[in-house]
Amino acid sequence: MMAKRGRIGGQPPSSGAGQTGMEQRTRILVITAVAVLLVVPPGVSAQARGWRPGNRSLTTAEEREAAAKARTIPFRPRDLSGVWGLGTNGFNLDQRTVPPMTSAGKEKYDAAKPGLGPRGVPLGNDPLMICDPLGYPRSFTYNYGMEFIETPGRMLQFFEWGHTWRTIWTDGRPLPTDVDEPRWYGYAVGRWDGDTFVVESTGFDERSWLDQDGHPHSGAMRLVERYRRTAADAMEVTITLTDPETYTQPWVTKTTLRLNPLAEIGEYFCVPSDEEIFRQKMREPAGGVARP
Amino acid sequence: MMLAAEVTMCAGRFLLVVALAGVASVASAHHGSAISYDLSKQVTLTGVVTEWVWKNPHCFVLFEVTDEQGKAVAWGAETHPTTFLVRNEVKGVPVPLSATSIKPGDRVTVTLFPSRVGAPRGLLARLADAEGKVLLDDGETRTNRRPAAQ
Repeated sequence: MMAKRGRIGGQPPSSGAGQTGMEQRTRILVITAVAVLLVVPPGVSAQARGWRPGNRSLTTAEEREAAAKARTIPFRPRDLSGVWGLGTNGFNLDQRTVPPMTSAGKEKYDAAKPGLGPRGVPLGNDPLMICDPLGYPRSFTYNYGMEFIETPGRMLQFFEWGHTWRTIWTDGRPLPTDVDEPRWYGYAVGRWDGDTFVVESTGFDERSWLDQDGHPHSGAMRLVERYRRTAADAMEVTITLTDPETYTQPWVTKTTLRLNPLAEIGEYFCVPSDEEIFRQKMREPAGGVARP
Repeated sequence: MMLAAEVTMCAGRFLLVVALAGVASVASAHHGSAISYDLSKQVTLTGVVTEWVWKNPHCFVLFEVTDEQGKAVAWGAETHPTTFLVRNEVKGVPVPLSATSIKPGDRVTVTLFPSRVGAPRGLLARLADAEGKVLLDDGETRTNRRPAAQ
């Protein structure tokens, strides 16, 4: 819409005098068209571009068609922008490569009571159930979709779960050796190594779980992530987690994420008051807690 | 998908169907409740909606079913988050759900994976309105949209 306005605005000014009837009609039509463009609601405008109002609004058929079309478009390896992994809920850390835990790590792991998986118990203590921030890397492994957004000096990861983002500084600053206070999403810096985007992060708040199974980490955890776009719709990801207070060796997870062209990150907040209603009316009764 | 006996416990009012195994897929219920449901069984109930809770972390429907003794039993079935249901599909056809898709007083037929402890709660597998129109079907659809079972 802006481009059209710009082109119209760039027309040579007319004196008005001496216009033919055709010129006047043309002028009226142009003014009318501009007026229509200016008053069209954003939702309608979005529809014209292939979007529809609402969250995550593509149907399966539309999603498939957009993905097929995207694969035919040349891509720049250093362009990671877009929504990745929508609908697949990210991916889990590799449960086959979990390193041996230290005694401190084992103690925290045993205290974690997940609500899913082989260690799952009803009414566990997953921090997710009280809407604590997921933290990182759990947000990467559990997000309902993640979008990379590049801005000068920063790369942002925008997550549907929590409608939150993680800042990755790309302005050349070094990774801090002493982060002022623990952060749920840590402190991250990124750089390009060839066509691989490398992210290093530290300064994590140890209260978050790494995954649905309740694997723990300490404040000493460091992450190295490597992102490489290998095709228009594919990105290889390697996450190396090092936390000597919790694990005796680095924990490496590799996966490939798929691009979701035209997809839209929805707004999924974990709202404490809504969660309380869910707890009272569904989770606790289903788990055997009797309520009057 | 329904493999086993269909047991009518109160003609026209309380229909109970237990299906053993053969469950095509597992609906999402990550928020600390998945472990509470028996995913090897399905129960089908017909009742009247008392509340349709359109909220995260999971939407759920509360509905009243009259049992064979004529007693009203308050059931509940949870399903996906709102962000999934707004682009819900049934057999590949978009059936976007909303806060007003069903309302108190509506008669619905609900198929659910029941609570392991026998509570009148479950994980929603299928939802149909009074005319039989299927509003949600997790048995065969949305497999590519469902959160990974983590």
